[in-house]
Amino acid sequence: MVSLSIHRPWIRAVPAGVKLAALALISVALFLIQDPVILAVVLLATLVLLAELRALSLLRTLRPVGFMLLLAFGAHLLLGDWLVGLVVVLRIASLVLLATIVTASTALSEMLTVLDRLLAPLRWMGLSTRPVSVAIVMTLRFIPLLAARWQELSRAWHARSPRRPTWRLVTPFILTALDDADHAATALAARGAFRLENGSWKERSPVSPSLRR
Amino acid sequence: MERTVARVALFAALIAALGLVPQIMLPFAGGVPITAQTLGVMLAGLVLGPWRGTLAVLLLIVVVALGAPVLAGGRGGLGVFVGPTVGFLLGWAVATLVIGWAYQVMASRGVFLAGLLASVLGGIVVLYVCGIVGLALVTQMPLLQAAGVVLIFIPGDILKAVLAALLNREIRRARPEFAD
Repeated sequence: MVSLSIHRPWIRAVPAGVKLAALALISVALFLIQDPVILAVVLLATLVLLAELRALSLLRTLRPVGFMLLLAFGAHLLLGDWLVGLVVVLRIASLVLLATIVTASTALSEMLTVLDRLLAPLRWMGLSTRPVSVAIVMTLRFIPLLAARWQELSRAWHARSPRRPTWRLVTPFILTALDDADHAATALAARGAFRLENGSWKERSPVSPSLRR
Repeated sequence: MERTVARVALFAALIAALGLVPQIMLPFAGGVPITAQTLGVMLAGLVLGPWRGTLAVLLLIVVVALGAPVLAGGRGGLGVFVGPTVGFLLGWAVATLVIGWAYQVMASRGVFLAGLLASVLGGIVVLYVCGIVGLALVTQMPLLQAAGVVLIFIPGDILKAVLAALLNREIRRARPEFAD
């Protein structure tokens, strides 16, 4: 896994909600702007921002998008309107970089807090949002665990076969994951994970204290 | 309740973990990289059923939005939601729903055949419709051109549909007590 992180204090100090709202507004604005000059200025400003944040390495996040953008530009070129192609490339490159800046400068715990706030209407309706938080934390915890399990399975394969592992490893991988899920369910039930206490699910949150507001 | 949450969370993690499986290059498709992640999406629908499968995919999408680099190639974060492939990411949820539903409808005709047809219908037809619409909107391409751009990924996805059907059969054989 590649993790991206920006450490400049000023941008980390901006509340996550503000950054997300700004990103949403800029996204809408950029989709409305059709002028390649303005979009070029926006991209340039984004690059300056990246340089200021000492985060020019984030440019590599453009690589997976680059292939699609190149195809899109080529298609517009063939359609006879390369200017539209340019507009699209400038817009998407700026947006992807700006969105990456927001993600890279915001701690996961802050994002979880924003999500929790977005889910508040469900709580007003009397629904528990507890399972959502539990599921998110479980997923984040289980990804490295399952990745390690895959490594283990492929090492076991290599011990017995000179060939490279194939899709056949996926069956035991999924079966063990389903068993893990059932064990985790038993553990959750035993801890009363979804029991409400005084109508407040936060009291016994499985989210570690550092992730809590 | 606990069981549903655990399985949904585990499957979301599973789809993410499958993204770490090294990408295979298909020589006959011009070296287009294919990842095992769509395979995970197909299996979510086949193994967990339409509702839980879709919840697992939605959960993964939320985790992506929160900023975890859990998509193939270490991608993740909000950048994905403004990129040209956003239609495919959001389409995963629709695809899983269709896969799970189609499988349940056809399951009596044989586990493999039902799994294959459901995966092709949801994981290719429905998913590509979502993906192509997203690509066309983001890149301002006409739908037809957008469709042409993503056609190169189809051979890999057909392979994945076959694999998903095989794996679903294996999993159900190994855990016959496993009910959706």
